[in-house]
Amino acid sequence: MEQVQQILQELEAAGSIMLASPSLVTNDQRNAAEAVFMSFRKTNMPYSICRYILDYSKVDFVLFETAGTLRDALIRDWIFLSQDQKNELRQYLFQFIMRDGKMAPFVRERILQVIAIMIKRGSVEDGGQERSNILDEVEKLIFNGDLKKQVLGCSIILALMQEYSTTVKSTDVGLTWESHYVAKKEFEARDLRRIFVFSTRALHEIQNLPQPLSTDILTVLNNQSFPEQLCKNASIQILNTYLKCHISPPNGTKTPDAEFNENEEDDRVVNKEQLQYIGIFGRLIPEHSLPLLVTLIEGQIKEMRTIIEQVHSCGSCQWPESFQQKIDAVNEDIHWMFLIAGHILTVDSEGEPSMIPSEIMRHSIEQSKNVNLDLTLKFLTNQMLVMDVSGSAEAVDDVIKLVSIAFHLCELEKKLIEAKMESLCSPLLSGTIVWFLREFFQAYLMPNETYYNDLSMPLLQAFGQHTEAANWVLNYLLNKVEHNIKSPLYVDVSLIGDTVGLLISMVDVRHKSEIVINCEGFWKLFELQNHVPEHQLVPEVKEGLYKAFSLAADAFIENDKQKDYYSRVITPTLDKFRKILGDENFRKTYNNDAVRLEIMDILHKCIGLASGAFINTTATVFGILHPMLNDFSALIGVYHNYQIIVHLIIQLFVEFSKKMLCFLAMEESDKFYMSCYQMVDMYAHYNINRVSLDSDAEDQCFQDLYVFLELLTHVMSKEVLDLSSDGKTTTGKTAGDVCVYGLQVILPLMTIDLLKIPALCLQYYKYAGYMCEMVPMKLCIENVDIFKGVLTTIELGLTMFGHEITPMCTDFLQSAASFMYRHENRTMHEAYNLLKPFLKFLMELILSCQINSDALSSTGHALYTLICCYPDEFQQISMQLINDQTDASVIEKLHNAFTLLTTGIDFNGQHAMKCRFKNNFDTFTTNIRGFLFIK
Amino acid sequence: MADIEDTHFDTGDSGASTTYPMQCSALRKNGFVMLKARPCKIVDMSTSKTGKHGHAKVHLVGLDIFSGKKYEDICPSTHNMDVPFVKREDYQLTDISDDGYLCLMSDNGDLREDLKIPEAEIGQQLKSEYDAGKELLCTVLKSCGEECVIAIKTNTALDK
Repeated sequence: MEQVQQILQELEAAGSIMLASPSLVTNDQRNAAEAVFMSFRKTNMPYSICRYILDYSKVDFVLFETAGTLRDALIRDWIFLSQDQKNELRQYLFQFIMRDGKMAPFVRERILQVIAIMIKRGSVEDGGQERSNILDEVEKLIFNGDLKKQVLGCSIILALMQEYSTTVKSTDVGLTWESHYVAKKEFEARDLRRIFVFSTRALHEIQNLPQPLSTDILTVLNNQSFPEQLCKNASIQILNTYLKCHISPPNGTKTPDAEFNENEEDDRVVNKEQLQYIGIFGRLIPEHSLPLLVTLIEGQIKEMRTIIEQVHSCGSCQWPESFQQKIDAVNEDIHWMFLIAGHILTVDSEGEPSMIPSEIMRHSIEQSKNVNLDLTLKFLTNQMLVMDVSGSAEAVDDVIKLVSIAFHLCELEKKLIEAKMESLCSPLLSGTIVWFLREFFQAYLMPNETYYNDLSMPLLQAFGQHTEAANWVLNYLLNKVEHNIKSPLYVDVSLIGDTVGLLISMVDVRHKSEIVINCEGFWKLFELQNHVPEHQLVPEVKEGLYKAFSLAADAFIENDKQKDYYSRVITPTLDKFRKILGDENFRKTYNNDAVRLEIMDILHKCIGLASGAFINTTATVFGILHPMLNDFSALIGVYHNYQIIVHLIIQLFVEFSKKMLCFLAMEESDKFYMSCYQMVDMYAHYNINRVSLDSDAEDQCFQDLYVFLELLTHVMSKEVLDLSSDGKTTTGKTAGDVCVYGLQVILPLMTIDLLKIPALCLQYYKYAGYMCEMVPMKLCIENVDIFKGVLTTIELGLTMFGHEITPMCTDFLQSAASFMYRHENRTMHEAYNLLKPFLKFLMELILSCQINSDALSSTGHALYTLICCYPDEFQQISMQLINDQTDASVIEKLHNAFTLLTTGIDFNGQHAMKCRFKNNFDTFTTNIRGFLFIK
Repeated sequence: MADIEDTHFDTGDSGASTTYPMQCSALRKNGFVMLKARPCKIVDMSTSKTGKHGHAKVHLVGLDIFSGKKYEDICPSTHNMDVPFVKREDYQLTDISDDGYLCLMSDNGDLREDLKIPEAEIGQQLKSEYDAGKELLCTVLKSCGEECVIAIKTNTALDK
């Protein structure tokens, strides 16, 4: 007892030093005090001491630390404690919390955490039996107890929920991630619903709500069970309120943002889910939502006209600040209303073909009784507005009114730019309109009529396949793309993305691209590059245009026509390329900036073309572009001093490997591999043994290696995914050969400093692991020098680069060991000896608890496979590790743990055994943490 | 080559101009640009707006290709920026004079002796490797009338 009192005094003294202000204690004193707590945490079997302290200490900090010690000890000793001891301790902690009303919140939180950990850890063993009993108690506490007990009950629930959630670091409870996950699943299946139900009930109890908890949103979303009119009324209210919040007075309540935050994401992204819900409500009431939007947007256009007139009458480019504010407000309102309109008219289809929503179709059919077809078409093709054409409100289809408004706004933008008043335009609104047009195009233009039961006549006449109006709309959209690319607004990054996105969506469905390629507007886009100075076209636009040109080729099923088309698209570029290379002065002119810009321009176009290749067009694209690959490899030699060009060349190879390789037949694949060899050689030739003074030399290396690894990873995937139809297997070089060779080149360039860059590190280890799994023969046996080099990095990766990398390294070891084990005469090969030290290394890491619990599962597999390869060494090493211990009880425990680890396991490399070993291994690690608690 | 010669580019060697204009929005990371009258390599590029509906401005961060010093600039994306003509050429190192000048031979056999041994570590490495009899390739960076050795590479037997 005296001893315990002494410990308490020591702790309280140390606690007061820890909390003292820096001016009162020295650093040494503080460190000494910290050491007191550190050693306290490692106390063996601290339970009675802890109880004593909790009972008698009044110092919150000491109580807090004591709870922590208790927690650590429980995790460590869990399997050594009897069920009675655990139950008693838990009961004690419950009472402790109940007893003291004035406990500091942080002490209370930590005690609750200990209780929750105990409950969770216990549930791993009894499948949640005990937890259910505890929950019964807690329920009683909440429904029958006084306020204090109710709060306690809720706190326990909260602590439990936190403990079972995935955000909790599973190491903290001495469980592997897998067991944690199993426990979590079990908890969710067994008790989560119950907790939810009684939490809502508890909410009533506490708040005394008059009605059951349910929001309008829930009611309306489950609308099948409610009367239609109720849904409609609620939807109208919701839509109106949402609109009001997003538009400015007098119609809305939105006040202009005082400050614009640049880092804020696009409204479309931030409010995606909200807008999708609003879209659902809007479609429940199209007869309300569509005309309302038409009226409101047209109102804003009217406003805009007034402003433009005022600006015009000012006569100068300088207009007052108040004008700008007014314009911004109008643009903001129209931007929001088109976001809403787009979400009502279309449903985000995510990969599925986009369709006209049935509610809109039904509305259009109903409306068509009063619609004047001629006027509707005239309306569309003349971008008319309801407010300008009397009687059109009834006579024109609502969908077409909205599309017509979008076109009208496009025209307005054109006029403003022509009048050099583009500063009145908003690039943001312009992008929103383009987005709206893309969504509209995908769902409404040239619909596949077989998808629909009913079709609305006005929609069919305006947008149906092979109608004059649809053709007109198509050309209009293509002109819009062209206009945007030429427009001074196009420099806006997101507007470029939206514009390219619109074009690409127009050609990636075959029945639409068949029509698009015959449109005048499509070929005008092609000629556009001759009119715009090419270095003014941004790379994204060049690549996007050529990707679209390439995608459109899918429209030609006949091979010859496809070839003609491609040659029409790319011949001018090819000619230019040949002319540059063929010039006899090229060895001198290559260094001119103008020539370099030309080369870059050609590369961007080729990259675009390659990225648009698809199964049906790959053979053609490959046939055209492949001869250039070797020229580009050679250009790495010429332009090795210009990283931007080297980078584009590798990028072109990446596009080949990403988009085409899996469809390439054997001969073509062979050709591509040879080009890769050539390119890799060329790169290595100019970069190995090179020292650069460039201030961003390391960044350059990083970028090069990263894109190289990307290339190799894509090439490797051919080993798994080969969709070529010839079914032949090569007798020459394979994808695996390229990959091993590439790695050989990369390894000398890969420094530890570079590996410290997380993105590169991840990409490298992913690749190494992938390769060892896919082509172990090539790596371990045929290229043992490379294997040696990779093993060096694996050794580093096991400990140096964090928890994400460790399992990749153990997976690598597992693949290598498993391959060696299956290999005949394994001991004859150098790789066998190279791999051997990793058994000891891994075992030491495991015993010193240096492997994070997330990596334990893959470590178990790796260990098993290594033991299969080196059974004798395993015996020796485990004996050694046991004998290294000094404490007799630890020696015995460790000996037992090793015996248990291998009990019932045959080291025969079979999957079932590996799994069984993994279970033993889990127990082993939890077990040894109990007595080898070295941190 | 006709179409290239037809363009209005002045080559750096003509003495007339050391830069050419390019629309700000067409600049890209890893390209070159003049910032504060210094030739720089663009290491970071971001756009910002004056307001939600405002027009983009481009924020450029560049490193002086000679000194490594960092420069920044912001400009409306429709404006033109000056881009320096930048040349990087490889020369074979044939000799080092007593006063620290390098004797360099170009691909076509021309000799030049107007560049000094670079400062910093790379200079020492250059000297020691040269003294050890290794074959050295020097990359000379040239822009805006300045020139210096920016990188060296030892040629190994493998490379030949």
